[in-house]
Amino acid sequence: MAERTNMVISVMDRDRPGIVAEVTEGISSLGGNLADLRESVLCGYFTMILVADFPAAVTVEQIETSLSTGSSSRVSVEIADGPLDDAPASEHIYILSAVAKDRVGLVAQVSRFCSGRGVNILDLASHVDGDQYTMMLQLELSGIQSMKAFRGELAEFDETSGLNLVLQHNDIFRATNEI
Amino acid sequence: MIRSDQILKTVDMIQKEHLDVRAVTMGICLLDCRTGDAESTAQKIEEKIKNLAGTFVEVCDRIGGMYGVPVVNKRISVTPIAHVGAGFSRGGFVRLAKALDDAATAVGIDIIGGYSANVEKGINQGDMSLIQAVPEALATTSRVCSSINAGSTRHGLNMDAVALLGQTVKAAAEQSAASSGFGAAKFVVFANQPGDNPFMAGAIHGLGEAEAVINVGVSGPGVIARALERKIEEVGADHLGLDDLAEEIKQATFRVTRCGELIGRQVAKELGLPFGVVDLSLAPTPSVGDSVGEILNILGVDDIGAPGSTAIVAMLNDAVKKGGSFASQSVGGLSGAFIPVMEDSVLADAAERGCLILEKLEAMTCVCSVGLDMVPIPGDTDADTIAAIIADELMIGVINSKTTAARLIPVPGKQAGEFVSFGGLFGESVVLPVRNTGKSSRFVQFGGRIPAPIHSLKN
Repeated sequence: MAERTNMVISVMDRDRPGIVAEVTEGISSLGGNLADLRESVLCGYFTMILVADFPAAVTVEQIETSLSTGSSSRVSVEIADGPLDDAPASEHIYILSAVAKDRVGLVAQVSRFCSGRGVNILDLASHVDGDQYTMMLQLELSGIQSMKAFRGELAEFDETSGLNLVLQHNDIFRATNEI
Repeated sequence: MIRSDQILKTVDMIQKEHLDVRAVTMGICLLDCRTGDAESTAQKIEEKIKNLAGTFVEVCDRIGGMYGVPVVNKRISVTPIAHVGAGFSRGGFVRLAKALDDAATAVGIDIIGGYSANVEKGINQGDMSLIQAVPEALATTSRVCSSINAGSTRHGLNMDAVALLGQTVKAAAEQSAASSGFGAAKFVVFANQPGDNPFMAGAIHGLGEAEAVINVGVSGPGVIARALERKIEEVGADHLGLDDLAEEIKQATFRVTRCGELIGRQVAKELGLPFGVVDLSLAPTPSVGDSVGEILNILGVDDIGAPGSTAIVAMLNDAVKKGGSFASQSVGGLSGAFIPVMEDSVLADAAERGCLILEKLEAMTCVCSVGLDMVPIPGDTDADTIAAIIADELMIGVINSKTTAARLIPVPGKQAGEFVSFGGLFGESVVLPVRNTGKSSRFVQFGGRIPAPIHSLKN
């Protein structure tokens, strides 16, 4: 098989019908093959990140031009740095839920706690219900040596931060919500 | 990624509703431990249990910690000891009970089941020696539980055995009089006893089972009670029918069963053992908020034992089975709602107020698991009356093709209305009155067998 290059592409736009079609048609017209894709719409704004491999002759500029021409979308393309990572082992994936009265800096507080312990956030979603702010963080805890110690630190953080924090293994949520 | 509302619902279930795994039970075959004498057999039993279950408690605790769902009880069930010790004297069987007790202590578990025999059609020499050893075995050990299967739908009810077991219950209580007859709280008589039940006192590792296996009993009734309360608060009692509430029970049971099976399978994998079954039973504990009686209250009877109680417990039992059996790959054991009086604070309160009586309990066990369970009765109740109560309860199972059991504690020196407490998971209650005592001896003394029921013409 001819040599190919992995490219990471991000797209942002005011949400409207046709964005995914425009972007993926542009990719396929250059011989690109999608490896993974995630899109999300938040408060009327569309964002998408995807990874695709292209023939080695295709350049970053060619892709940017192809995807931006005739479109309002802002597109950013770069060559993937080294081989693509595999999905993390499921045994180390946990869900941290954090609930608190809405105020400035909640996400920063929680994410700083995680980064301070080498914990990677794989996914993060939040929603506001009245004055209550809820965060769901999918965490990768392979770097944690002692779960007991980590839970202890989390309990302490729960006390001092005013956040109601609950850490559960991802498998529990899969088991209870998937058929 | 899983949706936020699903995550929050599961978080509520674990944090606020105290989801746990009620019991992980390791079943162990002991048939290969048999030697020519009781002493060396006892030593081999101890060695085998220690070898297989040495890390059992540590693994359960670690897996429970990893998932944030505690495994409350770690237990062991063994091959019915009558098979292992056949040919030994009564004293030899007492020695085997000591070996089980010592092994349980060594591996750090609180209860070991399987000091048992199956006499549904007849009593052989090994069965008889074991039954004769039961009162002393239970009085001199702390962790051993005993169960005898005295009837089945296939073979009918062995009334010779039932008569003998009435005396055994009495002797087990009297020989442990110093602890209010606690020996009898560790002794249960069954009809249609399953060989894969993870719950005590009736857990055994049946003859049809593998060398060793992990069975799981899922969470207690607190999760169901809280789910019902939340549903009623959200929707309003005026807008809910019993079918809506049954659906809520099904859904809650689905979720707790999934958790139980996940953790049980992980424990089995770590120990390198096959996974057996999930037992869907709702097993209460004396803790407040962990009561089957409370669910009956929520579902509309102001006191347990009031008319309607049997219908409600039937609906509860059925909904639990429906939700759980869809959730699990392999369901077994007893799988029903337990109503053990002493172990359930709401039932015990109803008994104290005189609302819940023995006869109503018996009626409720026609439609739920597992029988007259942890029922303290006056210490002067005669053995024939106890045997006749056992016969009544067991025939409910024999006729209806279901498991039933009797765990009666004739509390030495106590009368109806007096209080008895065993502490911990065994709980406390007033002694329930037994009406019409001394009127069943002619029935019990006939002996023989009540024939197996007809399997057609059901009405």
